[in-house]
Amino acid sequence: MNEPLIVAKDVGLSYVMSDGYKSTIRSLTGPIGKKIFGPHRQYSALSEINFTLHRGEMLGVIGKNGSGKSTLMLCMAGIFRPTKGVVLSSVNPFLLAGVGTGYSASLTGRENLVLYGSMLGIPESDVEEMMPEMIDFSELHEFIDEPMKTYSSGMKARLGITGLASFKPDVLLIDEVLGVGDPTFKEKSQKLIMDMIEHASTVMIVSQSFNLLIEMCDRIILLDNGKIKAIGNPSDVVDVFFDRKEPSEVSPK
Amino acid sequence: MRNEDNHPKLKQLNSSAPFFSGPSAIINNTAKYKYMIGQFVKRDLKNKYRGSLLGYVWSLLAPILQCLVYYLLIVLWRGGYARKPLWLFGGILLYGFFRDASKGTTDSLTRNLGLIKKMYFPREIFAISNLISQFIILLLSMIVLIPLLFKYGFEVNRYTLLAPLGILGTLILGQGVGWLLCCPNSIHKDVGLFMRYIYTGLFFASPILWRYEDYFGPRIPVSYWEPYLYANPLAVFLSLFRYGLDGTPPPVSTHSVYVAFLTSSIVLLLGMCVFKKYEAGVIQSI
Repeated sequence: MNEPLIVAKDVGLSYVMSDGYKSTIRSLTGPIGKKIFGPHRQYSALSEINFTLHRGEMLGVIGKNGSGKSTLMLCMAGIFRPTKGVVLSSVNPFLLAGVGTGYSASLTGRENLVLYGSMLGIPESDVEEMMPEMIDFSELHEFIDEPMKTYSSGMKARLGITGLASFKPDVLLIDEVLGVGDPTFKEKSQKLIMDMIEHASTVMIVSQSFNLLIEMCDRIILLDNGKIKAIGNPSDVVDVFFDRKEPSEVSPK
Repeated sequence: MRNEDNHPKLKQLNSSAPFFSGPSAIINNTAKYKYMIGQFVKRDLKNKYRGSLLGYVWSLLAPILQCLVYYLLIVLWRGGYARKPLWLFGGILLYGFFRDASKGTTDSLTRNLGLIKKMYFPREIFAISNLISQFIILLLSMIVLIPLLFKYGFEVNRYTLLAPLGILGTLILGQGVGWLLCCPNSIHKDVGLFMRYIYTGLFFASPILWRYEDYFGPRIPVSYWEPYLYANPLAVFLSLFRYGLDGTPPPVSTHSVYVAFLTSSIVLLLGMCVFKKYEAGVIQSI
């Protein structure tokens, strides 16, 4: 539990904001444009983020809309490069942010599963070996060799979640995906994600289901305007979110 | 926590590499992710003609139809040099490869943005898989040249080697231009819109529908116009390819060939450096 897997060290991320024609002139003319119109306007999405995710830990992330939760997850997954500070990691974290990512409408269900497997680093032979199990799980059976564009939205969601069934990452980053598809399949997909969480053992999860997070997590981070407002004991941090406690009253675990 | 930063297994995620390490990073990642690249190539090729009745036949039919249109318009109308259909078809195919390879690389980030913002893997994979797909399409399209080669009495000699050399040069230049423009185009669409006209201009300025030697040859000695017109590397590669198919010596000096390859290689290496330096920042801005 004490081995650090991901360390966020003074992480900050700023976006350049569009300023209409001024932005274009600045980009085209470089220093001259900046002298006339001033520097690019910047929006700070994250700043002064410091925490460590340890092996075997379950870390929750909460915050209001626009507080920087998804941006933080993108930085932790290596998709965004921080503009300040660094993210250090000893593993390849996998971000689960929506299902069906990378699937192509023109390809069949089977072809999409092979393609998705390749993105996760699973060889075609292994995917083919797992295929009967995956087809059963997806309940697509006779439709698996039809192009995905002919699927209903429920079928697409089932195919999307099936791609994940074969993947067992060391560190799982989950950004608010706890249930897709029709009610019956929703239960199945939630079970799958819970299985993945159990297998991964080290998880960082963004969710608005506070009760679930209090039950599952060892610690929770509360983000406010891109900064960590509180980090520590799940119940205490949720209390800070609802202004029932001060950040200084949060116990570390 | 400060002590934990020094844990021996910890490495910086998505770290910024020195500017000149771009080419080596791209080559290493291409080798490391070759299986994924293969799957993307399959996807691109399957997507290209899926849903059409003729499928992969379009890889042959499309260039035939395009070449026929130009042939009817240009060659028959202007009067014919015996080998012109072969030259015309060859030029159009190779130019199409140059345009599609560079355009595909230029658009590679914006076209795959949905995936890029959900999963991490090196972004150059999209451009590399596009290049391989375009190269396979070029090879398939070149089947249309075979009957023409037979018709005009194709024979293998030392000049035949110029044809693959022309393809190689076009590949280097096309990919280099694509890498160079990818990041600027992802932020400002103007780059791609402007490039449309550059591609059109290059098509007419390069020896595709015509030959420099037909136009200038009878009136002006080769040494006067050759260094200037063949300063365009694409013109050199197209000529190498067409004279290679023909098995005859090209009117391009060795010096111009060296300069074309040197220029294209510099564009490619610089493009790789620029792409790797700025791609991470660009992803956040789009």
